[in-house]
Amino acid sequence: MSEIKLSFDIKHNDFDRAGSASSSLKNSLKQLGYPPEDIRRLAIASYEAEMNVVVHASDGKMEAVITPEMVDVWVIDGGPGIKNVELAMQEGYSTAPDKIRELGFGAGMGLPNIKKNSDFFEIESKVPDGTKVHFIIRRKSGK
Amino acid sequence: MRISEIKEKLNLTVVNDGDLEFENGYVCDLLSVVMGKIQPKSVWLTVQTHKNIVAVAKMAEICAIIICDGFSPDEDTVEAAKKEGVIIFKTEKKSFEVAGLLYNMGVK
Repeated sequence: MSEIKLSFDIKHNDFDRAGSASSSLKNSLKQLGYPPEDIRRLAIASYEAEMNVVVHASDGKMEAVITPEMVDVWVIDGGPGIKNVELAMQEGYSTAPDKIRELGFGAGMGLPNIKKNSDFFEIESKVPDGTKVHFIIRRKSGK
Repeated sequence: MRISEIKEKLNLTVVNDGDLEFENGYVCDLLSVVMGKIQPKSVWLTVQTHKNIVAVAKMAEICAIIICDGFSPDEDTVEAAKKEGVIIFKTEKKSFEVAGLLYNMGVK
């Protein structure tokens, strides 16, 4: 295996299909024999990034490149962008609407969870153009 | 401890049955907090009933969901759980009580 490229569309407000991109990505890693702890980190980080698009953004996509050593994930959306990224990175800070909070989303832990579970994390956001979240999970153990 | 053991001892109602070995427990209704803080091999106590709890359980490798306080899962939650193989029980007992009972059984 040299590298595998995957791309998934993410639809705003589509709570029915929400998580399907992360689920497919997770299954790919399982098939490739990644260690369970790395799969779990990837699954949590990608689910949070996917849900951010479903909850906050217009439509977006998730692109992943998987190699034997690491998984490189980009989640890109078409706006409206984050006004204050520094605040959004703080645990507990959320701009989610009430209706979504009632479902248990909008805890203000999404971006911090991505950072915590990944080995590299960067975010770039511009109002109103959109947000790019980029993270890498490096294979920690196993051959 | 086995999931089947707590199902029997706490008299849980089966939504989607299964049996796994688990070690820990966690109570929370905010999905991202669960994703961030729940330990591997845990049972998760919540009052959320919508389909996304199945995705959270799958992503965070949660052994079983116990829906507490008499709430019932949405129909599509049950369908998703069956499709994804996620174990779900429900109970009339409050989250606090279920957590206490599990704690006394040695689940931390």
